[in-house]
Amino acid sequence: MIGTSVSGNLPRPQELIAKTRAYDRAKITEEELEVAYFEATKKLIEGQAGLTHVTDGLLKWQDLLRPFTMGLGGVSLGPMSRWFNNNTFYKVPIIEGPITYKGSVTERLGYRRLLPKKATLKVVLPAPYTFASLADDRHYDDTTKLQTAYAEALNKEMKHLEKQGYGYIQLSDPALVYVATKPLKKELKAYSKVLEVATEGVKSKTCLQTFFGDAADILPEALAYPVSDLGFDIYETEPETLKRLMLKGGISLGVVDARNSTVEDVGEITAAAREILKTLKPKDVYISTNCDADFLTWENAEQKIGLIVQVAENLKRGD
Amino acid sequence: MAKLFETYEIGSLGKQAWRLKGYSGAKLTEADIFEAETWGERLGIDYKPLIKLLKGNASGKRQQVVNWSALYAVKMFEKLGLDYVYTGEQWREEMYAHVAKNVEGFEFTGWIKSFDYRYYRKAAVVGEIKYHDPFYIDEFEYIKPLTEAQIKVPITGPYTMTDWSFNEHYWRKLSKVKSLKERKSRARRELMLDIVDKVLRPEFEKLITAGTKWIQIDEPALTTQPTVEEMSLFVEAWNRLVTGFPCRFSLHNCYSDYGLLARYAPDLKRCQQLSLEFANRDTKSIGRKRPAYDLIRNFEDHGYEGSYAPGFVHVHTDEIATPEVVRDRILCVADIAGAERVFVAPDCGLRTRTWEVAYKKLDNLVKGAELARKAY
Repeated sequence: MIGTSVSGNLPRPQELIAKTRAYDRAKITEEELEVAYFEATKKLIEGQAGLTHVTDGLLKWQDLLRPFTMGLGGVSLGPMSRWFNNNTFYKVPIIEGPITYKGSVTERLGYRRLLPKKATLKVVLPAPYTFASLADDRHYDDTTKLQTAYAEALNKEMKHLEKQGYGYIQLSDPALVYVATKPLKKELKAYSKVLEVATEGVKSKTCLQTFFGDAADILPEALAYPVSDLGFDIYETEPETLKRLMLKGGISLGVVDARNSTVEDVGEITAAAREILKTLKPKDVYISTNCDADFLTWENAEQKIGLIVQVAENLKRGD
Repeated sequence: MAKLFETYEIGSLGKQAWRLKGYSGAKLTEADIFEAETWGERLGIDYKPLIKLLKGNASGKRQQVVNWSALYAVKMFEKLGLDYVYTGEQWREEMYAHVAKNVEGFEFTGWIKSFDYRYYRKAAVVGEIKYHDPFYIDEFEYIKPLTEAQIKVPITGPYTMTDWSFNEHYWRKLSKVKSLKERKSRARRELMLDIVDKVLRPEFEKLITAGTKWIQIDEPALTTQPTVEEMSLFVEAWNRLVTGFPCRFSLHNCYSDYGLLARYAPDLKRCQQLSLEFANRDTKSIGRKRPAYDLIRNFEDHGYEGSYAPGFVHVHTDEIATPEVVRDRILCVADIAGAERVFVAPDCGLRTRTWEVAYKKLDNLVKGAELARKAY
């Protein structure tokens, strides 16, 4: 199959931005802000109508890690830090004690009830390597132990989401390929065991989505990871790296750049995807953005979603 | 012997309500007018024409309000006894937007999330970069006759302008490059060097001809992309930007990876000073042993020969460091690099603080420098 989705969260529309700013300045109430979130989420879901895999936009997530930072036991909110090589920031999770799962960390932030019945419901969660890399560990003093403890909590969250009807769970793992945080080769095998903990007993499809860095260094080890699909940022990873892969599952191709407002040429992007797929035999193919889309305005992201749909149609038709 | 531990503010100050409302045309409250009067009094400015201006509808009011605001900033710096002064960037909407809105090719796309409920206005480069009218020179020419103090002009550097913009035009221009990765990288380089050649060098030419002796190039985005290619590109852009100008140049970079910057700083031609952010990483204790400033040794070890303004006052809290803490921070860096190579400044511009807090922070900065001089 050829699926389509956005690899991460969506941007807040300008009207919601105005409301959040007003709320921040104590000019509107929490109830008024909630109405704005509700309306914006509806708008974003409508905007994803052409996609096979749809999220609720994750508009309330202040950063990818925040629901876990705020919701897990043993973790507290730390100082602000740069989100990889972007002009955006996240708050560092401080690991102060054993990580414990106290119930769903994402449910109260989501709009499950607004999601369509026809599409596959998708959710995006931080992968263990990225969570551990970006955390300030004051308890475990051992990265693998921290990753594993987080993976156990993540597993519970994934199972909860599965019960809620989410058929596709993306684990975002930018730190795994980012130049300043990527692991040593010898750490890549150990990470497979951590992912086993995270995905154990999860029946929904899973994707380990890499972005912000060249995936060449995690290959071929990542091919053995216990996930349904692997995702790549084609603006960071050369097609040549991917052409030779012996995939056992599916591939998510981040061929639409969510860090540039340019709406790419559909023919060109189709050709880039086809070039990679010429020699690959993936179970499934997903055409997507290379990363989260909240680096763009919503209007711009909507154009990019349209492009994703067109590229997938071209590939299906063999154009 | 030249004066040791000369002082300055990095660039921006917050904008007072009368400046913001007077410019936008919003209605001023009595409290806004009172603030203008109080600070005018405090800084020894004859503020009555300003009050009349704020209460009236004179033509050209917007620019006059900006002029007044710049005058207030200069007089604040003078009163505090800073050795180098400027306008507190009162002329500028914001460091990035000021350039983007004055250069052809940039077009604002909308608000983009920075963190939580904070956003920034991001522009896309939609056409060839073209320079029409200068955008830093009027500010300089306005303020120059109003002060006897030395002037340091902060400008936004090409790396930051590139990094904080969407790059549409140069991406499209390189449609023949098949690899998307390579295309993105080449588009970035072309944009950055065009900003150098077509915008900043012509602007520098005018600034220097008008009498600017010191330009501080602000590059907060530097080290955001921590690769050899990116750092080499920054060095290339810097060297191309400053070559041939009879002027002192310094680099301001904050909240950054200084281990990485230290490796490249010696390659920056004519970069006579690094103004950095270290107070944010330091403790509030007294004493000359301060591990947070040890990273300065990295710059020394890699052979950087210029001077340092490593940041002696934190800018993101209202807490005021005492003169004694400032003194010890200065002496700690003097122990590493030599007293003659130490300048005294905050971590960054004080735009996020009120004027009251900014004043107190700078006051203690100046007093700390004086205490440090006494120790020599």
